[in-house]
Amino acid sequence: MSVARLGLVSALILTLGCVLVVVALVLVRLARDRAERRRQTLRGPVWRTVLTLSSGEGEEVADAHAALLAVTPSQRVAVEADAFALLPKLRGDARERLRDVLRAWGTADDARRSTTSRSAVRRCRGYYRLGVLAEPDRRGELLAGLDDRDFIARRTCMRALGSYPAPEVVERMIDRAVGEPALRHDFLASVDRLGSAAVPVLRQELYTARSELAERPEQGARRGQLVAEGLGLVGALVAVPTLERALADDAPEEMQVACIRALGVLGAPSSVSTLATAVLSDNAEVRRVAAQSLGLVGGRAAVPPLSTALQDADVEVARAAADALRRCGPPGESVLRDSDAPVAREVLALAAIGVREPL
Amino acid sequence: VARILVADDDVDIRELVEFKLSTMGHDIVAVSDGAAAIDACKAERPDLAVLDVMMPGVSGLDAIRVIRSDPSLSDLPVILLTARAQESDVETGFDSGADDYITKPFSPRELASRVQALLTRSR
Repeated sequence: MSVARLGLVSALILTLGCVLVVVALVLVRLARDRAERRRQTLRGPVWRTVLTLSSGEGEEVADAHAALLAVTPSQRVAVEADAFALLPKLRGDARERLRDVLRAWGTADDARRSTTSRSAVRRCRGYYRLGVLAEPDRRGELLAGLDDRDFIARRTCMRALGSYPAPEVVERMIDRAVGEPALRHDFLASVDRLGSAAVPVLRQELYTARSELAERPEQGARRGQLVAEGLGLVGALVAVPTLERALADDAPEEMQVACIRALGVLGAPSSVSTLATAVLSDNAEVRRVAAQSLGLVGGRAAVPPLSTALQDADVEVARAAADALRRCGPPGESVLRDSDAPVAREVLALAAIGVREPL
Repeated sequence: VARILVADDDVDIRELVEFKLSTMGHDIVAVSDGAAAIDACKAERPDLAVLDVMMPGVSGLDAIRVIRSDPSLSDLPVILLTARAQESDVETGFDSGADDYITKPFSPRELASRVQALLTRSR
């Protein structure tokens, strides 16, 4: 066979191959469109029943519940993903009713199977769904998932564990977040959902962090920072003395800053004396955050330490003090008006034009 | 029966709110972003608006400011329905002119009660 003929045959085969691939892609697309149209047809009435279950009252809810338990597998598949997406956005009875139906459909077993898939996407879906279903006896899969080889799967697990208010779960979440700083936001999001259920463990972990500082300073500081942030986030007023004691030690900067921020967010008037000491720290960042926190606590007692901080050599500390004084109301504003510090005039001018935060 | 504008980029929430309020007999105009919400307010003249805060383009807060600056819409009752639950977020919501503030996750029945209360008060 000549070279020209060989080339012609190759070109023909290549063209035919391309045509076959294009035809195959078109057929796949058509099949998918058809399946999606079928899903939408099936979804419509079942989804309305899901919405009735989530938002209805009285008998219509009971009817919707019974109707959903009687759906066919294909109808279930048509709404299952949407129902899992809707459930975390609901609160109260609506959430419990929808969760009951999803559990009755056996979705927990499907989710558990997904967590062992080789596909990271499927594992994430499985972890997410186990979090949504919040069945206490499934937490083992999620705790194991914190060590998943894929980062996104670990994030999903950390978020999902926010549905499991058990001390063992909170401890593991903290350990994991200490070991992997990139999970901080997910850890805090879960702690926020756990709320007061997480407080006893968080308080205990603050003590652990303090004792850990001597042997593993970096890890201890990170633990202290995470735990303090968590305590502030969930509004754990009961933790105020623990946070104040953590500040009394010679803690690293990030841990001190987190404790001070938490005290500011918690806003207990008893914290003023601790914060007044912090605003005299050698560390400028600690002084700045302490001034901010004094402003959040507010009240007359916060004004004297903030008046001192207004004269701070570090302009950012002075600016934070000026803004905090404005937050303290008339007693603080009076100090600002009488002050010749440039930051005092700056904050008053910004307040006059409606800007509440320093630029 | 009232005409209610629902603006939320989350299709699940939008469908749920639309469904709940329509089963109460209200006429619903549903949109998915702040700019469309402003346009719908001007075109449809709703009796009440339920706005999400974080929407693509124009946020719910910016939409309220625009609505409040229009003399013909300045009295429109507005409920913010948002995932932003911090104290400062609620403060900002009311400062921008919202009449009520509901945080996600939310109860559809509670939303319906608040809608009804605002409608009754505004009439």
